[in-house]
Amino acid sequence: MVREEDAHEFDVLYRRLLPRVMGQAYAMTGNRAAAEDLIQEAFGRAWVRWSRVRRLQNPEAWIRRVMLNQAISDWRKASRPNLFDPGTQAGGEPDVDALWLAQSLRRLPRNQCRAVVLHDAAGMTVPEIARELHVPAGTVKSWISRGRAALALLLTDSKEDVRHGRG
Amino acid sequence: MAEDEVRDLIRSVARRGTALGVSTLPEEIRHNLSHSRHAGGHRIATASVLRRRLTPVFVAAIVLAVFFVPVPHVSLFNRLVAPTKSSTVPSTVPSTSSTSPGSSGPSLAGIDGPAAWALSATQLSVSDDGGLDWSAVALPAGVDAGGVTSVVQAPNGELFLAAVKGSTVRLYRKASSTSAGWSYTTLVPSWSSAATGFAFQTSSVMITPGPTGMVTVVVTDELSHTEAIPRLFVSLDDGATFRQYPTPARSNLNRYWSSVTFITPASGLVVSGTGAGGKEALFHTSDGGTSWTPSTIAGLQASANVAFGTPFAEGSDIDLPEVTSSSDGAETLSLYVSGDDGATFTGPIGRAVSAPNSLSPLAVRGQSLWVVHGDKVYKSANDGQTWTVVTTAGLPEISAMSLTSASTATAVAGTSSCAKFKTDCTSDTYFVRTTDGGQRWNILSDVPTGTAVPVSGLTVGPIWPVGANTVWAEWGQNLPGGASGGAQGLERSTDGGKDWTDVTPPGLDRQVGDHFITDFYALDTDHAWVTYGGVASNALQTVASTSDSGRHWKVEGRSPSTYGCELQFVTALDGWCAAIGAAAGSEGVDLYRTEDGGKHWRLVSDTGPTTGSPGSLPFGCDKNIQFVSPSVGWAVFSCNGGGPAPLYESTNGGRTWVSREVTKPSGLFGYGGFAGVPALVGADGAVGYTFQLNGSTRRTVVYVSTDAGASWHAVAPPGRAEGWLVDTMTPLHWRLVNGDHILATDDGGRTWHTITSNVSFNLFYDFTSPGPPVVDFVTNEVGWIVSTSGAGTSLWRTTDGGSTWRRVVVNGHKSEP
Repeated sequence: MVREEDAHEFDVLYRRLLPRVMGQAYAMTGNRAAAEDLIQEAFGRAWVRWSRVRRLQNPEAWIRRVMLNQAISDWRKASRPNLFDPGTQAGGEPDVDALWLAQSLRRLPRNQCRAVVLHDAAGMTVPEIARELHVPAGTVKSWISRGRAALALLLTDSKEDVRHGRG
Repeated sequence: MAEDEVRDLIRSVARRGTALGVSTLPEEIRHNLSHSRHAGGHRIATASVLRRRLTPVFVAAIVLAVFFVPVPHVSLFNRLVAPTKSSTVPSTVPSTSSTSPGSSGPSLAGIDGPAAWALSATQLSVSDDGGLDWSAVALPAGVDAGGVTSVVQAPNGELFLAAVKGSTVRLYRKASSTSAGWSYTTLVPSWSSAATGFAFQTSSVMITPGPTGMVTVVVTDELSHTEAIPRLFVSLDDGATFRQYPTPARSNLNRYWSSVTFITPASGLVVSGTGAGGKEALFHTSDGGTSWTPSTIAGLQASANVAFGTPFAEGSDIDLPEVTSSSDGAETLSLYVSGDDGATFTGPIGRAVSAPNSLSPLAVRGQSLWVVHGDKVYKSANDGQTWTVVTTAGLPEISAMSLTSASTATAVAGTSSCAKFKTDCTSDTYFVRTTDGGQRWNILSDVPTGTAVPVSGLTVGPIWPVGANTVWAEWGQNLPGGASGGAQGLERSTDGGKDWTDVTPPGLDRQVGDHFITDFYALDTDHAWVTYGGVASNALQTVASTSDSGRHWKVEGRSPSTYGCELQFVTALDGWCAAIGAAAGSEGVDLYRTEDGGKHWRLVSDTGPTTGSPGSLPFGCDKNIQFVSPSVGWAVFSCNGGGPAPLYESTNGGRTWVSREVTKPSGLFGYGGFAGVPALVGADGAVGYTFQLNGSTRRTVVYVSTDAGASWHAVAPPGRAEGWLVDTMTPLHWRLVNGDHILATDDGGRTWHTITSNVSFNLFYDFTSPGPPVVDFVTNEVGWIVSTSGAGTSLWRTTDGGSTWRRVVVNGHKSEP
């Protein structure tokens, strides 16, 4: 039996968080449809256990974390991003940057990937990430810094791969 | 490509993603889910089915929204609305929600003299000795904790509790925590929606007991950030009957009231707030609340922004703490005094002191006068003539305090953050106590407030229980914006987490320069290691160790990998540092070995995508490497599809690895991973393993070996398929935890019994994060759980085999230098 107030509360949370999490989802997948799937998966899980999620201090962190873990798990299942369904920019051009990024992110060490995605794509602050990943801020900073350095190298490589359709 | 270009690229991709929009309506997610659940499926309908176009206006709005997300700030909220002793930390309702107040469930707690109270998500607890010992009190029939809007215990032990029922408020009352049953009175605020066109809604209820026989209740409808409609109810018969007083139509009285203080049944004062950066107003009544007039405060700058603490009686006088903030940001704290029941105040008495930040002051009168403001405690033994200022380390935001002696105080601390001013707030409440005049505040553990993050701005973790009573914890202070300079440290407890000792290596108490603590490993009660260094991508890390429980630390050498590696030790000398990198799905491993406690390291095994040292681990799958002796180590895997993931053993310190035979149970598929390293004694071994079947469906088994680990076969726990967190204490003794249930066997899975816990753990099953054990039973009786889900890391300990868990609060406070 769905309580009306639960549904309302869920809808309010969804609408409020959507803009923030879509950027994160897109950066992780490089693909609009996959990003939407990720968001729906995360919110679907939230709804299934809404009685617990709604009581969390920070449901947004929970959603982001589920998205992140789901993306990583999806990465395991599909070894490369879907080059045939790229994201598109406003003008209808394929979003090559998004593909480079999605492809390179998955090659990062896991903690660095999480920290970089949450900081640069989801716009979370270092303290927020520290709280969410349960490590001190200094550790988060080092992950972000190392992750970006590794990405800088990877992005240069994968740019070539995407250009040549290698994935 | 430079690192800042990487950052900009990610941001621009995220911004474009946001601009693409998501057209799925929340109703569709709920609807699809409720259908697919019945059909046994989990994956939600695909986006292509649900996708719709967004209007350009909405797209523009969300593009703006993602870059102007309101930064949560630690708000004035707690103090403005609940600033003094006889008060409570009120719950709030997100402004966007129409659900009943209090349903968002922040815990309510307060202290008033010896009376302390705390409402968790499940129960109300009260204390009559200032928060040291607690007992549970049953809630009124038909009221659950989430439906309680406000709760207060008067110093005489009387309990009051408010629950909102539609447009009315039920005020429950009982004479003491031990008296039987609750009685209630219904309060009906005189809100007329017809007259204004507004639908009024009770947003908060403030209950203030006292003076003798008197109880005031303020029921408020918060209209916006600055506007609120309060309704005052006064009882002169201990809450049995109430009279409602109309609020005078004064614009600055129709605000948020942060306190109502009656000195006598006739004379009282109201502090009415006007919002962030604004001016608070002070009103007094001399006719029991019928009429209110502004108090005159001589010496107060008329144009200044002022905030008032709650006035308090001082003999026949009334004292009023006040903070003025000038336009240049400077703030001064003063005390004013009234000899005519609050009609006029004069002052400031004594010396005004500069105050550090814009929070309203909390003053408490005991044997001396304490005013808490920001991270300072101002103490005066002569009614404010002179002040002693005590700077505290890591003092959380205090919402209520009780002085028990000149140097001892117990306080309710709250971590409160609001997305907007006074709205969308979450709060976390706990009790702290000082015995040294306010320099150091220890968190009182075992207070059943049931919330997770212990100290404002602090992250605790990793937490390392070692043995039944000793636990180490690393913590760090998070400064706004991720600024450097925050405190950090290590603490250690030897009594199950009651008392903590600061064991931070000298010079590493701040996150600056090359002094960031980047890794920590505790071997036993005496031995632990840290790495520290800079946080730049190629910064060198230094390894330091202690062998005397953290009293002394010595630098051993450099960390072997600038890439970052994870330390582990099995003896004081034998350790490894594993750099596990490159990706979800496949991971390279550089495994370094030390035999002299971290001074020297050599690469013993190296796995790359295409090459590796002979006998090294395979590149595929995520892995977690743990050694159990100087020679024997296990590499446990988690892999996608096919399953089960492989299990490798090294018997030569990690130089070469051998795959052990793992027989997949029939009928199970999907990816999965090991819960930890095998417990192996003689020929017998056991290790947990969880299959991720689909969506969130999991099936946990325990792999057992009877040939010293050469081959493994699965034993399924009884009951339906579900995911358990497995602790194989020995090859025969296993504890499986899920929610509030523990499945236990002491004979290797032949017979099982179920233990129901008082805490339901929302444990996050993460295949890819190595670290301290999540569930760690040391004996059949004593066990630890490190819960790292939801709002933060919390540590729990049982001494009765898992029926009763008590939360252990890690201090995270520095002692004064």
